[in-house]
Amino acid sequence: MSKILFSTIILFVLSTTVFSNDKKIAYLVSDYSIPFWKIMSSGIEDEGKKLGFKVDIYNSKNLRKNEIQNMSTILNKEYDGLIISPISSSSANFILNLANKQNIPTVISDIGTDGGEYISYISSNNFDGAYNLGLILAKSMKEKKIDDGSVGIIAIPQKRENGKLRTKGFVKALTENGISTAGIKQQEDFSLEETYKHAKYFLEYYPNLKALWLQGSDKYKGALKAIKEFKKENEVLLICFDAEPEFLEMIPNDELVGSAMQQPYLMGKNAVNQLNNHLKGDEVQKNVSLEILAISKENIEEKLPSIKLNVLGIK
Amino acid sequence: MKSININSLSVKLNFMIITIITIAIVIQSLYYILNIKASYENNLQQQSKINLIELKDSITHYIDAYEVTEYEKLLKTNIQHNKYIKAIVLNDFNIGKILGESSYNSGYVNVSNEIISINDERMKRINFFEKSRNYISTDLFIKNEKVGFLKMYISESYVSDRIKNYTINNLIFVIIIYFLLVLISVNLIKRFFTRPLDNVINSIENNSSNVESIKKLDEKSSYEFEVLSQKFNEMTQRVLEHQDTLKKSKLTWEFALEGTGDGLWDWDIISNKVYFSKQWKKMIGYEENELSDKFDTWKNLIHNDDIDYVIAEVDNFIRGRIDTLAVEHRLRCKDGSYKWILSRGIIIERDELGSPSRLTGTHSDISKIKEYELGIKETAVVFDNTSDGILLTDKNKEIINVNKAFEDMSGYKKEQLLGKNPKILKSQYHDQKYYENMWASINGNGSWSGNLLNINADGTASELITTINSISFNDKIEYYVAVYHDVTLQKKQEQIISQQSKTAALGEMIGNISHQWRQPLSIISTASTGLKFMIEYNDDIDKKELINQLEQINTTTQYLSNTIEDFRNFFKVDSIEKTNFLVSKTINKAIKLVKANLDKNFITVIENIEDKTIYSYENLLLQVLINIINNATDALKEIEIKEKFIFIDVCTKDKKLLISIKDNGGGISKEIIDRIFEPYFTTKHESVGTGLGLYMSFEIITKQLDGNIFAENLTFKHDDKTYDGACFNIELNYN
Repeated sequence: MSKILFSTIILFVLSTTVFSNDKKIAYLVSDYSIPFWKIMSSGIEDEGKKLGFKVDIYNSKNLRKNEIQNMSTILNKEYDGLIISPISSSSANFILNLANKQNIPTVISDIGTDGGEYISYISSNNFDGAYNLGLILAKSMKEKKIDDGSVGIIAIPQKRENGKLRTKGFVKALTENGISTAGIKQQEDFSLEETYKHAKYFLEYYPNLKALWLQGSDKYKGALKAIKEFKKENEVLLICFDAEPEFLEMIPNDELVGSAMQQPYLMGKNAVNQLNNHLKGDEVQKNVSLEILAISKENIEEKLPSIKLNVLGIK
Repeated sequence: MKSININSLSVKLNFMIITIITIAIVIQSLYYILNIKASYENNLQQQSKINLIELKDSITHYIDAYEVTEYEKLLKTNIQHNKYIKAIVLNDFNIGKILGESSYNSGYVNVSNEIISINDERMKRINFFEKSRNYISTDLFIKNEKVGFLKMYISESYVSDRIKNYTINNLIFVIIIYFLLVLISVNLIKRFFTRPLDNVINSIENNSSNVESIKKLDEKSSYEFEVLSQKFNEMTQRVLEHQDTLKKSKLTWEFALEGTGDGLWDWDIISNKVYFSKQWKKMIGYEENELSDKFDTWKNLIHNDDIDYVIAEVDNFIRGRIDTLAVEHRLRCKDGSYKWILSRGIIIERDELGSPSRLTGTHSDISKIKEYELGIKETAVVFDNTSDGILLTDKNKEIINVNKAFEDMSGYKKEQLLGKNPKILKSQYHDQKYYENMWASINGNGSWSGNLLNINADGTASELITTINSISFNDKIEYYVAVYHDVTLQKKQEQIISQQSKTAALGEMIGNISHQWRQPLSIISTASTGLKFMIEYNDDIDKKELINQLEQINTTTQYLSNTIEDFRNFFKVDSIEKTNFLVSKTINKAIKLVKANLDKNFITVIENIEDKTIYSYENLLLQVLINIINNATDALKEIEIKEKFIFIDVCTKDKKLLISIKDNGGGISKEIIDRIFEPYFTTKHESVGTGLGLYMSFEIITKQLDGNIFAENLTFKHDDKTYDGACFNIELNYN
């Protein structure tokens, strides 16, 4: 009996050891309310759990002050590692500096940084993803014989590196297909109203507008609203970046031409893995660039499993 | 290149101008630099304040947005672009609050052009903030809440660096301006001051070296130089006038001086040029332009024996060792002869050290005086050494000097005669009339010659050939000089010589006789011996042969008789009287008398005689001819030649009968040819030559025949052959 008890205790201890390495990591995210970051957080949590990390998520709500305050808290709590998805690459620099002062190994997941030291940077191949997306739109516009029209871009802040890459890739694809852009409008507050206004702007001032591209996804309804108001549902195509769950229906239904879907869940997982490698002393990949899935009606079925898990975080 | 005189006014002026310009440029530059510095500092102050204000707004915004990275970038950019900012520091209270600190400090420092974050580890080693005091700062507010503090440190070296850069950048410009100013100033000074001044100086120098070509200065210049030029020209004019006066005065003086026959010299010791007057040059035979005006001109003309002495005297005079310069020396004339000159000089200028710088003087021709001196010396020698007695009286006929010969002659000592009248020597032999005539001749003609019988100191009488001369100076008789020649002695000497000559002539003639008679006597002897033999040893005597032999003896005897007659006539004492005679006959007689000697020595006589008659002493001429022919014979005897000639030529020319007797015996030695007519001079041994033959010949021709005889060496041609020999020439009066 005592043997059994002893064994049980040993096993319990071992199990806790296996399933709990006493390391905790913090995930500082720009805005948890945004599905993208939420899915990423999910990936981080799941992978963290799997590896025995305690993961604390700090949501900055897209406010720098919050981000700094969160960082201050993180610094005081002596985390073993840090994953950040900063509000901007600019703020990331500061955050990294703070982290480095206390020698907290930090992995950046998306957005990027203007400076500072980190152990790994997990990013999406925004350029290729946007480029492939551009090709999808170009193909669709050609099929519909509206490729002589222009495309309006409602972009995430172009100060962001990912924003720049997306724009570059997308425009490259359009240019290769002889399709012009109608300009670019940047999101600032990422509100629905904002997206609506930008879309209305394009529709009003660009009579030849044939498509709108949102570099984000969650505010697509604002763009649709504007299109509807201008009664150009059949004239103006909508294409997005990133994914919402309803895209899985909208794309096949031609409500959406397509979307370039990042794989936030997968990104989160990779971030934890790299951090773990660092903490274990294993080799760390400095830059991990994950594929962005360019989904259109043609390949949505095929990619559905990846979309569900890695893009939408549906397990 | 001209050497620069550091005392030159031009140099000093240029130096002053350059110094003033330098000082002005330096002061101006310093002033400008200080102004620039103040301006820079002021601007910097303003600029930094503006910058701070601009920065403040942006920083505040970023602080509010919590954009730490953004404001850090801004701070870094600001310091990078504004070199005057040494450091910029932001104290973010917002972030600090979040991080639990008083402030979050960001900032950058420019350390040797490297922008370093204030949080960099290296900043701990640099105590920048403790040392720096030059900064501006501002508080940052957001809605009245102080959210930050911004401090901007101004670089202390920024202004000085800028000033330095400004100075360096403008240095070249300043230097160019400086040199331009200097160049312009120097050139202006040169143009308006130095050059006109140099022109004046050069003009004065040129003028001073050549007074006669003084040119007026150009009066067209700046006012001061115009005035200077005017005044100089006036002064030059006055100098010219003075020069002219001086020149005239000099010419007058020169003329006066040269009127005396003296030459003038003027020696500039410094330049070593000497002015020689026309008379100076003329004195030694040169034209005015034939001698250069140099010291060496005179020096090179001085006689070699005099030069050391002369130069020493001149040197002593210049050095002040002697008070006067009066040096006699010989100067070489143009014709190569030498003339005695007395050179006298005085010092007329001295230099600043008191040394003579100019001498002037005269040259006097003292050759006559020297001749007189020499004459006097020679006269003194003659006076003291002649065998003739000399007596000198003053104009009052008081004896002032007698020579030794007179003392010996008269037996009187000089002391006994001085102050006495020569009358004390008077004998009673001559009457008063004789003496009156004597004095009349002396006073009228200045001289008298005749015989005087004087009484000696011992009472004896001496017949003296006497010559008395009066000596006048400025047409006034000052002295009387009497020269006495003791006839007695002369007569005795003449008798001796005559006797000796006759003896010599007799000896010669006897010699000639022996020559003449030797052969005829030999013929007679041979003929008579032949006859004797014929008679003794031949019974059949050839009558014809006999007559022939006897005829030969007779002819030869007749010849001997004629010869005796000839010699007898020659020796006739009373045959010494003038007659008219044909010279050719006389010559033939002479040849006949010496024929034997001529034949014996194989001498051929070649005659070229104009048949002329002269009125003279034939026998005396004959004696001379025989003597000369015998001398020629003797000369020809001594040499080994095949053909021996004696050429006798007679011609007339210019009322003179010229007889020349020349031989091809080689001539008379140059060393003796001038002495052959001296008594007792002979080249033969005393046993065969007396040395009186030619002397007697000379005496006969010159004194008794009133002619001339001289000997010379000749080179002549005969029958296309050239011969050397002596030639005796006799010139007799021929009317």
